[in-house]
Amino acid sequence: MKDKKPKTIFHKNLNPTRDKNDHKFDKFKGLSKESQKALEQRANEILEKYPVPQWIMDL
Amino acid sequence: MIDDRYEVRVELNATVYKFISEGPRGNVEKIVCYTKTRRPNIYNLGFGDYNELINGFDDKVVTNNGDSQKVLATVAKSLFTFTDRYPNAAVIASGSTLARTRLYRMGITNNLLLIENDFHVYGWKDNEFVKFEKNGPYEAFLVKRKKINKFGI
Repeated sequence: MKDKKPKTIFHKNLNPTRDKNDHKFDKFKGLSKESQKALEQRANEILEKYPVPQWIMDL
Repeated sequence: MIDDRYEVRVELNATVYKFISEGPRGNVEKIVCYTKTRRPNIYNLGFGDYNELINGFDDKVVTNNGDSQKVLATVAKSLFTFTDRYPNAAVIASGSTLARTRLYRMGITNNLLLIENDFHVYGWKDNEFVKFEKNGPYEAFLVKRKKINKFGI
C-alpha cells in the first residue's frame, strides 16, 4: 500500500496549499533553457512591435 | 465570472502559474508565464499547454476542452497574483494567432468590470495603446495595476 501524500507541502515561493492535481506537476522542474530563451525572445519582439509609452509606466 | 476558475500552483517567484484544464478532452496541463522584457517592469504574458517533450509550452495549440472562459478567468486571476508581487509591472499580451488574440479580447471584455477596478487596461489600435473598450479591434493588450493612495481609493 502506498503512503498517502501529505495534504500540504510548503515550497519556497509556492502556495502552501496542495490541491488534488498537484502531483501532476511534481515532475516539473522549471522550463528548459531553450524554452526560456524562446520566451524572452518572443517577449522582446512583442515589446518592439507594441512599444509601451512612458506615461503608462508612470501611472 | 472570475470566480469560476481553476486552482493554480504558483512557482518561480510568481512568474509561472500552472493549472489543469478539465473537460471532454481530459486533463490538460496549462502554464501561464510572465516573461521579463528588456525594459524594466514590462512583462509579456504567455500561456499554453505544457509540453513535456520540450519542457516548455505550446501557445498555438487549440485544446478545445470546452472551458475557455474558465481558463481565461484563471489567467486573469494569475494577473492579480503576479501584480500583487510586482505592483509596478505592466503586462503585455498578444495572441500567437488571431484566434487567440480574439480569445484574449473576449476574456478581458467578459471580466472588464472586475479588471478595471484594479487595472488600467489598454488595447493596441492604430499604432498606439488606447483605453480598452469592449470588443475593440485590438492586436495586443496592456494592463497596469492601479495604485492605491493613502485614502484607499
